[in-house]
Amino acid sequence: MFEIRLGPNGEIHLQGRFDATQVEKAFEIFNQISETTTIDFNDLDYISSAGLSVLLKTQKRLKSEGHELILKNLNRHIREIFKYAGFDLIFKIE
Amino acid sequence: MEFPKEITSLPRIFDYLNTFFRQQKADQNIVFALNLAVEEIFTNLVKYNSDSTRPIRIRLKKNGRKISVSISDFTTKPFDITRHKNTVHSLPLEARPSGGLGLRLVKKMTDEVHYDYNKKTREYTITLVKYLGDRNV
Repeated sequence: MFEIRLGPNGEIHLQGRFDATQVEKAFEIFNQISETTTIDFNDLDYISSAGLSVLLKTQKRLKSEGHELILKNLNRHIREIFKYAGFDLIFKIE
Repeated sequence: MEFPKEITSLPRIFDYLNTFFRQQKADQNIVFALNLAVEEIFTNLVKYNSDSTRPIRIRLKKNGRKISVSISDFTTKPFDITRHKNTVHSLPLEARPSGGLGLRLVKKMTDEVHYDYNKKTREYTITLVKYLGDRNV
C-alpha cells in the first residue's frame, strides 16, 4: 500500500511502500511541484529504484528551474539505499 | 511459485516472500534487502526480456545460515548480472540517466548473487542470497 498526499504547508508526505507499481500515482503529485518542496519520508517503509527514479526526474526538472526537493525523516534502510544510489550527493537530506 | 510476467504481480510476490521470511523469523534487514533485490530483478525481466511471456518462477530456500531467492525466466540473450558494472551512482545530477541503479542496489543489498544459464532449455536463473544474523539461526 502506498499513499502520497500534499500537506497544508506544502510538504509532500509519503506512506507505505513506493515500488514499481506506484510510479504513475506518484508522478500525478510530483509533476505538480514547481518550487522547492520538502518530502516527508516518516511513514515510508520501502522504496525501490522505481521510486528513486521519480525523485531523480523531479529533482532534475526542479534544479533546472532553480528549485529542489528537500528530503526528511528517512528510515535507516532507505538512508542506506540513498547512499548506495549516490542520492545523498544530489539531494539535501535533513 | 510462478508469477505472470507483469509489474502488477509485485504485490503477490511480496506476499509470497514476506510470508516465508516471517516463518523463518528473518530480521528487517533481510526482509528489506530481499524485497528490494527481487523487485529489481523481476522488473528488469519484465521490462527487458521480451523473449518469453511465460510466468517467472521464484523459489525460496533456507539453508543453514543463508536465505536464498532464485528467480528464473527463459531467454535467448542471457545477461550475466554478476559481471555488470555500474557507475551511474557517482554521476552529477544533470548527467544521471533515470534508470540503471537497480542492479547496483541488488549487489549492494545482498551477500551473494549467482547467475546460471542452461543453454539447452534457455532457462536463466538469478539467485540472491542473504546471510542470517545470529538471532535468525
